[in-house]
Amino acid sequence: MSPLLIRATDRTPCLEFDYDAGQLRISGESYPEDANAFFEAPLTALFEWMDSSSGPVHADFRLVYLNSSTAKFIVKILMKLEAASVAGRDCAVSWRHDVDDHNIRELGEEFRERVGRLRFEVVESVAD
Amino acid sequence: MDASTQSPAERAFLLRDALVQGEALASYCGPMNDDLLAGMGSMLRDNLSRLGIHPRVARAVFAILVEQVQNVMRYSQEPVQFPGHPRAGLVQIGRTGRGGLYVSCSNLVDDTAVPDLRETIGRLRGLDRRVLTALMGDVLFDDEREDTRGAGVGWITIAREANGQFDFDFFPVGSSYFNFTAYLESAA
Repeated sequence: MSPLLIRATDRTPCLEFDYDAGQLRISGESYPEDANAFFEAPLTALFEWMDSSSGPVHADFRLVYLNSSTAKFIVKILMKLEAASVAGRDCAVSWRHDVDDHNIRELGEEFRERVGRLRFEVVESVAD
Repeated sequence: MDASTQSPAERAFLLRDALVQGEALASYCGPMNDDLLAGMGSMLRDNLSRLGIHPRVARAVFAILVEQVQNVMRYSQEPVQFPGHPRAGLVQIGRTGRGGLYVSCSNLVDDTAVPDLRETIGRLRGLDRRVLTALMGDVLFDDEREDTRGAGVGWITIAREANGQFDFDFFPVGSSYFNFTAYLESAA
């Protein structure tokens, strides 16, 4: 399946879904008022790929800011990954936060607790 | 003096005086949309950086601004002063006398919306950050499991960024509307 690349704007994140490698990355800032308009099509394609494949998946979140509407779509992704993990698929999440960004860190820790059956690491620093 | 008898220069000076008294860093009144928000956010970040505000505080103020303005974009009712532009309001960011920052946001709401708003927001006041983070997790994950509307996540985010310290008020405007104002402070 062809990889997806949607470049970041001043209010929407960069989406990089390399399906063949099982690597998903969401990075940057995300605060579109209509998050549904931005996320719906990429997530529909992502979930269809997940339903029709079985290889390992690693999701790398490198968000420096997300609004509450975006958080709802992040939760959809995490729950999909957790369900796949419970079904036996090798799924993992890296949630990266800047050194002094306790907001993103706490959100990652909260999400990690909510999807306890998914391998989920909260990692300091968004730098490569 | 009545505003209609003031000269443009006098009105401008009175507005300037009010903004200076409020230690305003940014102020806007009118229709709101995504482009306006991105522009205001960029200007605010530049201002806060130039003032030497800690990035953590700047992020909190930016987050409050985003959620507040997007609430206006979704829920405000402005039938009189901005005909044809119901999603309008007033937002102001400034410095508090205690060295912190404030975000104040106002918009008209239909009087029937007041009880729900008062209940939804009032229950968040005074809660600490840890409780608000857990509550955010509850609402986000429960909504996804039960496919409900998810009302309140934006307000939980706002309350969380302000560590539960905020005020809100309703001022009657005519017979069917209230001017709803939320005022939040972020420590320096």
